[in-house]
Amino acid sequence: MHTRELSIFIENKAGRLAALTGLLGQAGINIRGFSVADMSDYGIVRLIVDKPDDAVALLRGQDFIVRESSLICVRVPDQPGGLGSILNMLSEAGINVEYMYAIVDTLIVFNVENPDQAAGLLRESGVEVISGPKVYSL
Amino acid sequence: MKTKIWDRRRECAGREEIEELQRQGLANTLQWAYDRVPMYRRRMTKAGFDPAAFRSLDDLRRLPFTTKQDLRDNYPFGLFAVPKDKLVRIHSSSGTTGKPTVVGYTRRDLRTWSELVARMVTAAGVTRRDTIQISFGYGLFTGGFGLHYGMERVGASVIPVSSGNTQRQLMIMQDFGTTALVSTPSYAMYMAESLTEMGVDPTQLKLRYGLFGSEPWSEEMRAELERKWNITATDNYGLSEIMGPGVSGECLLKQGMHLAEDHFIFEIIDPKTGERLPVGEEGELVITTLTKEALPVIRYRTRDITRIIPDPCPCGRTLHRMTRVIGRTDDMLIIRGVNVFPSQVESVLLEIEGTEPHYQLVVDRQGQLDTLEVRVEVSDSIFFNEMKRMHELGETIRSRIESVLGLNVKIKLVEPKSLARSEGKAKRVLDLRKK
Repeated sequence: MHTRELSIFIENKAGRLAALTGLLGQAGINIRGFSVADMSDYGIVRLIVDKPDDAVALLRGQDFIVRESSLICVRVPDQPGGLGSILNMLSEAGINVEYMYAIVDTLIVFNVENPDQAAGLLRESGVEVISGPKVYSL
Repeated sequence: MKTKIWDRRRECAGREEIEELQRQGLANTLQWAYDRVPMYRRRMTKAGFDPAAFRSLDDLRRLPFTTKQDLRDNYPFGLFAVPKDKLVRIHSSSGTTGKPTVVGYTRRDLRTWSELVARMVTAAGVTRRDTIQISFGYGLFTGGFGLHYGMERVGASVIPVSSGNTQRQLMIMQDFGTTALVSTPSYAMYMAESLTEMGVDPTQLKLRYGLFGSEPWSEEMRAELERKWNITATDNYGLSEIMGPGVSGECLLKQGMHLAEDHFIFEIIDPKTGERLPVGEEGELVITTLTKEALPVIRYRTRDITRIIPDPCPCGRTLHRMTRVIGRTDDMLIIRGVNVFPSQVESVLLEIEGTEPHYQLVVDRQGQLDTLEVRVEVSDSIFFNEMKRMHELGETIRSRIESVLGLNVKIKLVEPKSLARSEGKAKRVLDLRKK
């Protein structure tokens, strides 16, 4: 099972990120991982949360624009060349990585072209692929 | 392209005949308004104008303008020239920006209206063999009923679908074999896209003509609509204060909208000075009714910017034409000496998105240079979770707006509902320049 990620459009204005995270906190939604991609005027906040459905409903209700994606979460071997070996496997299979970031621990979530194929491939090679629910409760 | 002409005698009349009709109509209207409407009587008296001494069309220039505010100030029936028992229809504007404006029609007014709409739709290709889907709202808005009675006058089969419920619109269009669609251009665009999503090819339907109006649109949008539907799309113009649709409309040559000059006098003025401009120059359209009984209107400032084309049209009609409405006086901006209308930006955004977007123009001055920033609210349909695609979207919007306006602009993508709204409508312009 893949890991659900929420992408949220946010203006680069003081307090917006605080407002977003505050909203989640008040609703008892825990952030398991996040990344921010930004341009000068706006950014895309990417969140992995423990209750994705609740978070989507909450944010949409507050007029945030939210898009969902399915990512795969893998445990990267904590040793030199660990990340490289995983990226190599994907690249050799011709799977393009849109972006990736680390979440709790040495876990890294990947947005890849073909999550099923990528997850299967990595699993077969002995890489630990972690399911969404497990990620949320880490 | 040879087109049928509904009222050849009037639509192809010589200039002298038209001017004679206008002289007579104006003399009647001035006297009618003087005798029956206190506001007009007061104004004529103040201007030292005696309607009985009216001689030439040029005398019109001596009279003050009538504005939308005058209609509001006389809400609801203060400008009506007939007692209520002579009224057979009352329409009203939505009143989003103040008190609504109320307009009334006598039986003869309705007949004239139907006749002028019949003229307009015939010029746009409609005949009695057509099946017409009217997707304008029916109700207080003049668009639905205006087109309805004019289409019936022609003898076409009219389906009064009214606006909304797109699924039902599309079902009717397919099942009833609609051949001509009456709607706003943006709704026609939306319908075409909905059909495509349903897996139906819009060009395979029986639809041949689209009569679009009631909002500004562009030549690019026309081309898009014609291609998507495989139809001929024409523009038409009207406003409820004057009558409703039927004031002017394009023939199939699509080179400007023929004016109903036998029922109205059209002037173009400089919106700043109020001076009448020579024929052919761009300015604000001012209309005087010549045959209206219930609500005669003298020199109504439409706030629409257009230009009159006096050259004969190859279609055979001699009535002068007006160009597509370029914008509104109340929202025209001058930025670095260039006239900019929010509608131009809107039409670009419409082309990119297919739906009405929320946007705001922010004009400022840095040093000696005016700057224009266009803020566009991001919606579900234009939010991508990849930065690259968001960036591309911004760039597409920027380059298209720049090519339409001829000005450098900065695009700022903002969060939904973050632009200031008054009564549900976004405030389109923020001018921060020191006056």
